[in-house]
Amino acid sequence: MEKIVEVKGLRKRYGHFEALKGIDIVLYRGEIFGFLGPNGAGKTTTVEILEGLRKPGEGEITFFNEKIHNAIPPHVKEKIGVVLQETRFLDHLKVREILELFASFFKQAKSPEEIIEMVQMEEKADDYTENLSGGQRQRLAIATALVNDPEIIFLDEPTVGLDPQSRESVWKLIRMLKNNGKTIFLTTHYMEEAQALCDRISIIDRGKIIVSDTPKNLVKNYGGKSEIDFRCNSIPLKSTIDDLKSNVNVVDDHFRIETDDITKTLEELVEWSKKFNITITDISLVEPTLEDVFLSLTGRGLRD
Amino acid sequence: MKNLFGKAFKMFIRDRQAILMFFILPILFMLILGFVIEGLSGSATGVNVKIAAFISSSSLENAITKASSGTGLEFIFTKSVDDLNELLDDGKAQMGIIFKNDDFTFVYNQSFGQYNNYLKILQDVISSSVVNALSNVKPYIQIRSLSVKSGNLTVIGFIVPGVISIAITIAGIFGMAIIAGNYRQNMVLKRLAVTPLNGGSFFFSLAIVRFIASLISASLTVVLSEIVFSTSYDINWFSFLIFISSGIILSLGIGVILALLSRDLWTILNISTILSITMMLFSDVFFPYSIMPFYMRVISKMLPISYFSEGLRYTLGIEAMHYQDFAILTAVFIISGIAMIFFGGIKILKLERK
Repeated sequence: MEKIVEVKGLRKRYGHFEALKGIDIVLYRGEIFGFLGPNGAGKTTTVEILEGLRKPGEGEITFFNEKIHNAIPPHVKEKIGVVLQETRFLDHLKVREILELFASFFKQAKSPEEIIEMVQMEEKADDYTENLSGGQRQRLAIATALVNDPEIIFLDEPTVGLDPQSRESVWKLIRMLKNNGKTIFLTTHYMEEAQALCDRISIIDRGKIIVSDTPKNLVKNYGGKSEIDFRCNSIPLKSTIDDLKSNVNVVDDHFRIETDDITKTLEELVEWSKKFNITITDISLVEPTLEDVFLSLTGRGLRD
Repeated sequence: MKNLFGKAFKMFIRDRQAILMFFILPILFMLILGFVIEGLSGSATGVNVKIAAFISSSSLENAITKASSGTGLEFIFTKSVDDLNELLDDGKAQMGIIFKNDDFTFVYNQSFGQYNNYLKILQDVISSSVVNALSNVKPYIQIRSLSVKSGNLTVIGFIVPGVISIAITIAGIFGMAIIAGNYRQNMVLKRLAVTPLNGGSFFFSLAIVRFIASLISASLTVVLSEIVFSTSYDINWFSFLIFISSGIILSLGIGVILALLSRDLWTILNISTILSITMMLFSDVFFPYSIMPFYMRVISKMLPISYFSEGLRYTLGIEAMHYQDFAILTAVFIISGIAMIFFGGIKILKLERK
């Protein structure tokens, strides 16, 4: 796979505080790379260095096989799209005009009409940006990042503060960009977002990347066991419960089995209920998430 | 750049606050302050002050009589300085002028203290008027390019250019500082900083639109002042437009520099307000330079507004100035203004890149 961005041993210090303690990141063409971490972990510092908003400290950054020394040069910026955590636009301009303006900053740009169609804002094209809803603003923010037809797009918490419908619409847009071959660097606080969108994830904590892998592998390797919660029509005898090979715990008013193999455990549970003529009245499955991955690795939640 | 300018123009004409600042404020400023000053001076076309004058030469006496005709000023020519002092002591004149060996000496009767500020403004009016009138007969006063209708010079006519310069300066500083501060505070510039856009070009396009607006507004204000206050300027439109342009560019540049000082818009507004009030008070417009103590004169001389007013009076034909000084002043204003806008703009965008 072709490397688009490579970061080696990146360090950044603010006075005595070392925000980044030598991090390594690789982004491959066409993937959605998720960058997770709690507040103050070094996430924003990293993404702003890569966007060109902060100067890197020590380490090596390579964009498109070109080493970046102090600041990202304009010709590299031509290939980058950025959506900041919060985007405010120039006042008194319409959606179409904002896109025309941003397009004028680049040597090569797509037509505003094409971008408007891509982000499905045809009906809002002649509205002033002040009159857009939160979701529409965020779609416009993504649209401004697309005017130069970038190879890589940095999305810094693109769905913060959006309602579920708007969030779904932004996710759809991000998936469409991936399908169009764009490489996406996504930072987010939402595990479900990372899990739903990302091909690979790195988790940063206290200035260090503590793990990098696919969401599936992360959950499998670090998320702990799945849990099967169930209730029965009557309280089974302890000897009956002990007949189950899996370890069963009583939690509040129900039973819980922790398992690595959900299918096998469910089969066992069904056999057990038949054998003792017990009716399982309620059953639910709780699978580990990235939140569990993070908790198990750092002892902190993502939003802490 | 063309697209940038086009969008800056659209943003400006759709921004009611900017329209108010650049078009309404200077005109209101001129009208309100003009009427206040007109009230102080008695009338728009003349003043009711008797001036005792001792002139060492009869030809100069005739020239001064000619220069003051139509001003409403009444000159009582005396044969000696003692006679002049006697008229002042008796209250028959509020001010005396002694013109001897090419020097003007203005004498005041302190018992007319309530007139002092006004008389000192009048002193500037008379100095300008007489020096201009005498430029033809005294070749060593090198004001060759001037053509002055000194006979119509009034206090209000003298004050209005100062008022215009203050209004233009305040509109320029506030107009640019507010927009730049607003963009800084609201992270608009941070978004622009991640594009290949040059900060200098961006601020330059914003400044060009405001410059054009200011230029139109200043011309309208001058024309309006002529109609409302019956001031009659012998405007050298070429010099006027060039010089007012230079003053506007400098004001816009100062606005950009002020926006560099903080990310907080309120802080920028407070600094702009303090600077504007200081410039108004020390501008040699409302409080004559001659009544200021030494330290205030130093402050006044450090402020560009003093030079802006002076240059503007020159272009309106009411104050003498060497053409060379005028050219240097204009060049300094333009170059420093452009540098402040361009390099200030680059610096502001760089500040977004920590």
